[in-house]
Amino acid sequence: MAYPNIKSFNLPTCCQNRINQINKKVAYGNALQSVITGGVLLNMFGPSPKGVCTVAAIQQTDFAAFAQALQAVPIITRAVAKKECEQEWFNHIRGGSGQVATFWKGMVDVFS
Amino acid sequence: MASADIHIMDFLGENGVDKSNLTLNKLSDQKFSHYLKESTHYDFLEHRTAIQNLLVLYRKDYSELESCVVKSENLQKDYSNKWLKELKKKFGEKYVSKNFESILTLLGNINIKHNTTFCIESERKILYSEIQYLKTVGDFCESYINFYNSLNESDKQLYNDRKKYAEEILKAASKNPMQITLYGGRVGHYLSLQNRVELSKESFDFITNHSQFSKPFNIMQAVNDLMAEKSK
Repeated sequence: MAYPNIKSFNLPTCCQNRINQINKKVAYGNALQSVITGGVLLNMFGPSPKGVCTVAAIQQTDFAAFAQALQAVPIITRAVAKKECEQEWFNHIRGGSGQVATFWKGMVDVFS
Repeated sequence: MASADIHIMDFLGENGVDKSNLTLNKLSDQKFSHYLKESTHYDFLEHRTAIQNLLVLYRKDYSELESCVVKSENLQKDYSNKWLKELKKKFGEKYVSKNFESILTLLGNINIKHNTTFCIESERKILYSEIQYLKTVGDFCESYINFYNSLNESDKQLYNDRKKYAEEILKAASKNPMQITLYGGRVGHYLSLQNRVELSKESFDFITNHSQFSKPFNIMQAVNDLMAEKSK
């Protein structure tokens, strides 16, 4: 899988909310039939002033590591998370936010 | 004993073997069974059987949804850009770039529609069976806690650990994982986006009725194809 390399970027509120939602789904998915305890959550947010959320640069290897860690997430949860990532990608492709859209493309591939 | 060790599909263990540290089997007790019979008309074994039956249904509905999800993902692999070629052939080469925004919005709407409806029957079933299963487990654990509270102080000492089991399971059973998982956020909003689509009825119908979009499709590929067309 050819994951992207992304420089540090600001994560819009909509994306922060989406990541929190995905994290919640992963955590609850793991409550069903756990192969991993506690779940693997996406920790994207760097320290920043309130209201601004910066994501540190993400390398191909980071995406690959996410994919590896999330492999044990149940199929249904993965599919739902993937659709959420696709929707954000779509929203940001429409809005012309290239870097954010690329991030979400990477996340779609992580859950694929 | 951490809640993270409790898995909702493991409340009764599997094939008689306890996979989790905490299962309902540990609450089995003659005194409690008598209490259950008095307060609910059913003894411990009957409660256990009821929960077991509901778990079987929950697992069955979960598997069914899983199969549907896999089917949906496989259908997406069948994507081809034939629809775009046919659209250009029918409406002209420049049509796509002139109506890019509307076509893009329409594709997004169709995609959301498939996301929300393709497995809807399976989703409804699992949500219902989840309510039945988890609420029944929860009620059972609450009965155990009420039983504990009815005991004298010296008996409470004997049942204290098991009361804690019941509380941990009750906490786990108060989650509704499929409800959380399947909630799609603002999927209902896509209905309002229809107003942003400004296409002729003919081209609107052509796209929405095209065989490519009668089933789940690869939205990212479709959008990439559309964008490639726009940049020509």
